[in-house]
Formats: sequence, C-alpha cells, structure tokens
Amino acid sequence: MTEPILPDDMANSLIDGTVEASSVPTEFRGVAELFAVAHQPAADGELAGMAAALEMFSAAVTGAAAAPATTATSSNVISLFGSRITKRAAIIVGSTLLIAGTAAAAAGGAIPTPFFSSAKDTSTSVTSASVVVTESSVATTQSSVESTEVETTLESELVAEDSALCTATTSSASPAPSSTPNSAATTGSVDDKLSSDASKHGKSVSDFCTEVEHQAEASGVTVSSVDDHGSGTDTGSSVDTGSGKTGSGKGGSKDTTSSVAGTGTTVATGSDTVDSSGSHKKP
Amino acid sequence: MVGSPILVPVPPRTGPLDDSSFPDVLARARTGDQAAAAVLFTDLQPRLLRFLRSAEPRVADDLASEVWLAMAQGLGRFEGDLSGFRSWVFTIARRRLADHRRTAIRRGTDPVDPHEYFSDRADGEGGDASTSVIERMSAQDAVNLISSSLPAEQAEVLLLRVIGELDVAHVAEVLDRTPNWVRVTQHRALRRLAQKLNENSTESVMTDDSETI
Repeated sequence: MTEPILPDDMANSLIDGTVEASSVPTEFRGVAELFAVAHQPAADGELAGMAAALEMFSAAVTGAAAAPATTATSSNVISLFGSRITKRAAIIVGSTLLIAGTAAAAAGGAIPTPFFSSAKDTSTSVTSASVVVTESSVATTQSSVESTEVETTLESELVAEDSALCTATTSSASPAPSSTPNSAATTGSVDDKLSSDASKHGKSVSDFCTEVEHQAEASGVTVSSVDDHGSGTDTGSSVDTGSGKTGSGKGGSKDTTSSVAGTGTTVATGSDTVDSSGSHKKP
Repeated sequence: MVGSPILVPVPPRTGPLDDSSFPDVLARARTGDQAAAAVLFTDLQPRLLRFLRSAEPRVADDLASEVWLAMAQGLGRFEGDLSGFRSWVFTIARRRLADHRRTAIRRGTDPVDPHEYFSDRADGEGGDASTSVIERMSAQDAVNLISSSLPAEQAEVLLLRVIGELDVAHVAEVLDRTPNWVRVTQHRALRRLAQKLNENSTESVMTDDSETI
C-alpha cells in the first residue's frame, strides 16, 4: 500500500479549514471533517467562569502595572541600605572612590591645572593616605615657611646692618682726605640711625656696636670689603648675610644686601643703593 | 498518489478578534479593560481548554487559569501581532503543562480509544461511517481523537496548527524546533491520521456488515 502524498498547499488548506471536505482527496476526507469539527466555535461550557476569570485578569494586569512602584520604593531601598551598610563604611568607601577617581583623573590629565599638582601628589599615596591635600593647605604651608625665612633674614639683616653702621662710624672717626660735605651729612645720618638702634636696645652706641660685632662674628656675618678709596663708583661689594635666598616681594621680605661703598659712608638698605654722591642706583 | 484536487475555498471565519483589531484590544487589555479582556478570553480560552484537556483533562481548567494569570502579568512586555500573541500564549500553556507533569504525579491522559468512537457512536446507517460519527462530535472530542490517534509530537504539531491557528514558523517557535521539522512532522501526522480514520471506518463498516449478515 502506497502512502498518500499531500502537497503543501493542500495540507495547509486542510489544517486551516479553508477547503471543503468534498474537494480533498478521498483518503483525507475524514481528516478534513475532523479538523472542521475541531475548528467549531466555543461551546458554552468552554466559556464558563468567564466573569471570574476576567476579574482575576484585570486585577492581575493592574497589579502587575503597579508592582514596580510597590516593590522598589525609595524608603525601602534606604532602609535596606541603612541596615546593611553603616554610615562609616559608606564614608570610607566614598572617600576611597573620590581619592582614587581624582588620582586616576590626574594620571590621565583630565582635571584642571590648579588641582593637578595636588592631585598628582595625592596619587602617589592613595593606598595609605586618607587626607586630601588641597591647594589652600599647600599655600598656607608655603607662606608659613616663607615667614620663617623672613624672620631669620630680618634678624641677620639687622645684625649685618648695624655691624656695617658701626664699621662706618669707626671709619668716619678718622676722616679721609677726600671726604666731602655730602659725605659728612651722610655720616651724620648714620650716626643718628646707629644711636636710635642703640637706644632701642637700651645701650650706648659703643656697647651696641660691641654687641653687634660679637653677634656678627657669631652668625658669620662679615663685612667683606670697605672701599675707602672714594672712587665714587659702586663696587658692588656687599654683606652677605648667609641667609640664603630671599624672597622677591613675597611675604614682605627685604633685600639683605647691605653695601658700603665710596668712602664707606654709603649704606644701602633694601633694594636701593645710595652711593656717596647721593644718587640712587638699582642694585 | 493524490491527483490534482479542485480546492473550493470556504469563507474565512470572522471573529471578534483579528489582525486589524488586535492592537487596539491589546492596548485596552493592558489597562485592565474588561471588555478587551473578554475579547481575548472568548478567542483564546476555548483553544487553550481544548489543547490542555487533550493532554491533561483533569487539571486543564486549573492550568488554563495559570496561563491567564501569567498572561496578565506579562501582557505589558508583549510585543507582536495576533499570531505572535497566540504563539506566546501556547508557549506559556506548554510550560505550565510541563511544570505540572514534572512536579506532580503524572496522571493519565485518559486517552480515548478511537475504536470506541466508531463502535459506540456509529449508528449503523449506510455510507461513510467515520464521517457520520465525526459530524456528531464536539470540538473537544475531535481534538481528543487527534491526540489519541497520533504520537505526542505529531499530535502537538497538528493541535497547534489546528487549534492555535499557528503557522509553521510559529509552531517551530513554540516547540523550539526548525520549521522544516514541523513541516515534515505535520505531513507524517496527516498521513497517519488519515490512515487511522480510514482503518476505523473500514472496520466499522465491516462490523456492521457482519452484524447484518
């Protein structure tokens, strides 16, 4: 017995019920009848309980729509967060993330320049340090260092200046042949300043000079040279206070260079140098 | 070999749910509209029950309820047309069926012996006995006859094609098979079903003849 072969379109029509049973091959007429019966509309029993099913369906649909809002409220999330992670742990985690992020950004050059240096320094000690070095703290530290330098500089400067004044006064005690009225006036001002400095310390000029010279010797301040020849030119000789670098305007620092030029009557304090002729020159 | 039959088309069945009205019905059903849900229920519930009752008659109604609940919960995420919707629904139904069979003691499907239909319901009138019996069947009887006459895979393919009105591609999707496998299985099922029906009608007619003699 050969098995009947059904073309695809015939099979599909048979299954879809879109062909009359009388028009299909005899072998498949029973199948066509059977499929037609299976396609019958719903019987009453098949739709029983429809009202209850629809109620359940509608409730489930609306419940499913409202489910995300009821299961993930913010208060629930916060309470869950609070119960499992303490604030301290959160702060530590947040700080670590902040530092690591800043370091990573600094390494990549993705942060503004003012923050770059401090972030770069921080990046070297991310694993151990938990203190963020800010620009303001760096500036404060820098200014305090500068003020210390300035105090040291001023003390040394005063010693050097007074030492120079004492030296000049001693020199002026034996007048040089080339001394001029201008130089005498200048010597007078030197004496006034020296006496005022001595009176500030409650000592006489001679005692003050003796003490200053002792301090100058103790601090290593030396008067390198004193031009007594009265050449009228600033030889640039200076008293090096040995205090190292001085600031150029930062923190009110002063030029520690004190020069004695000409006939030894010129004392330069600060940035201006006054030579024996009374003219001002920039050092 | 089958000759070239003349296909006489029948007018298409027009129901409350078709491809044109489905998007609107689906949109309203998503908002919990019971009228739209009723349209879906009228269209799908008989198909579901016939499919489930042919496999697990005792728990078919409960399984159908579970399918509707799953549909309601997943309705907002569904995207597709009417065929895709039916395919989705029958996919859920098959999973519920599999869950039931996996977790519970498997109950017999109470398969109906095709011989019973023809021996009990044949009225002894002349002509094609099988046809006269089938004409008096209910839809569920016809589905049960299909299911009991075929191996499980072939029956499932035919039921999804007939009851679910799914095309070959959607059946392949539901069964997680290739369309070619579905097409081949469908041909085998049709041949086997036709053979079974013809054998039974012949036996029935022969029994009637012997009784007459």
